[in-house]
Amino acid sequence: MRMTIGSHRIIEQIPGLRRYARALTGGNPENADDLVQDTLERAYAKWSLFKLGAELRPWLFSIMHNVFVNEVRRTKNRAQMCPIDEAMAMSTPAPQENQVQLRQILAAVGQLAPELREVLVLVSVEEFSYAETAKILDIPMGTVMSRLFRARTQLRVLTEAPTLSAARSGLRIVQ
Amino acid sequence: MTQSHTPNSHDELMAFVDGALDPDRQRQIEQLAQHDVEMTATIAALRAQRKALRDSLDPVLHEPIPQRLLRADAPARFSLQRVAAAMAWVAIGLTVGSLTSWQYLSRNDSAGAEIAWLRQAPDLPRFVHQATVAHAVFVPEVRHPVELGAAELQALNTWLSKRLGRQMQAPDLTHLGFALVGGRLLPAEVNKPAAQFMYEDSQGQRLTVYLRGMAQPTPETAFRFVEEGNINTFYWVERNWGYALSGELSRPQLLQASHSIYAQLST
Repeated sequence: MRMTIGSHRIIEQIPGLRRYARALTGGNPENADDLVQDTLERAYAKWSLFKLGAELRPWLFSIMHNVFVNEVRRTKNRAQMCPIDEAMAMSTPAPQENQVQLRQILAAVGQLAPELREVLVLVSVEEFSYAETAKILDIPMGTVMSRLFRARTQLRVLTEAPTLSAARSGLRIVQ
Repeated sequence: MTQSHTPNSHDELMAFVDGALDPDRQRQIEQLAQHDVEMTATIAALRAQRKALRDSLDPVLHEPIPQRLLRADAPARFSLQRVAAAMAWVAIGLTVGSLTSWQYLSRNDSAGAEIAWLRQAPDLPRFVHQATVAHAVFVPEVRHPVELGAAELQALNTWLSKRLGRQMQAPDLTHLGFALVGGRLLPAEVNKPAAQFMYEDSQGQRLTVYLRGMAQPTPETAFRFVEEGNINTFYWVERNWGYALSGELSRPQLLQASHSIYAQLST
């Protein structure tokens, strides 16, 4: 019975976990769902260790972090397994007009070092606080901040260089 | 010095972009940036980057969840526990998974709203699962697809009305080419038995209508669609009664039949 309650609560978190995994794998849906599946399996196995009253979401993300780190270690670098072209071809079509740009940014995220990807997405997309991010990744907050800066700077270089003019016109609109 | 004119560290710039600074400092930097073209550009680029990340990733939230994730299970130590967990998974997984996918398509609900809704109506996924299981079990029956056949329509109507505690008649679907085969009583929830009516067309294709009172107060719904293997189901809740129509027909065909059943069984 308790298992069922836990399962139900975990199911609610699947969409968020899939989103995070998609970013970590540079937009490759298959690899992303493999990561989610491994995470879920481990979460169920460790369910008895989850403290009731604790927050489920950070707990699951920290499990995904461990799974991801192990996976990266095993394959050296997941991004290398998934070249940009392939990532772009495999990513699910989004309904937006600027589909290509959106896919490009995911492919670019996939080119960042795995530890930069994690911080970038946990903060920017999953909207964890810096303190929560530090806890999920089990690193000091200062490391979160420096990785975040590096991730964003590198991502700018990766995404803005080929379309500088577009970025400029974008800036003008924002101003 | 620390609270001076411009963001004095990368950390502070990041915190500014993430809206993590205290409101005063946030405002201060906002104003200062207006006079600093380079800083304005940096901030705009970082914000655009944040937005692009979200825009590229948020659609994932609305994708149907693959079945393999809903069925993922821990290698349990005790086989019994494993079986129980697996059953719970199938029950929740099949209904929640397909239910969510359709709703995203049809109503563009956010995941959060969907889940809040599910929490409100925990009996509903169970109801849908029972309806599809009952369909899968009885439709292939050659000799005993129903307990009471269409030849005894009056007895069937009286019996099921009495057992379900409401007046009802087996819906007529002949205008859609489906003749009533008969019906049966099924166990479902405590004090809430279910009725199943079965229909067949000239090619032997079968439909089932399943209904019962909901075990908890359940909000009314529009027609909702779920898919389990080959079985398509439309279901809805009205006045705390759950109705489901299952078959291997196309979605539009089933929807048309659902409308007819709705009109005939509405209390």
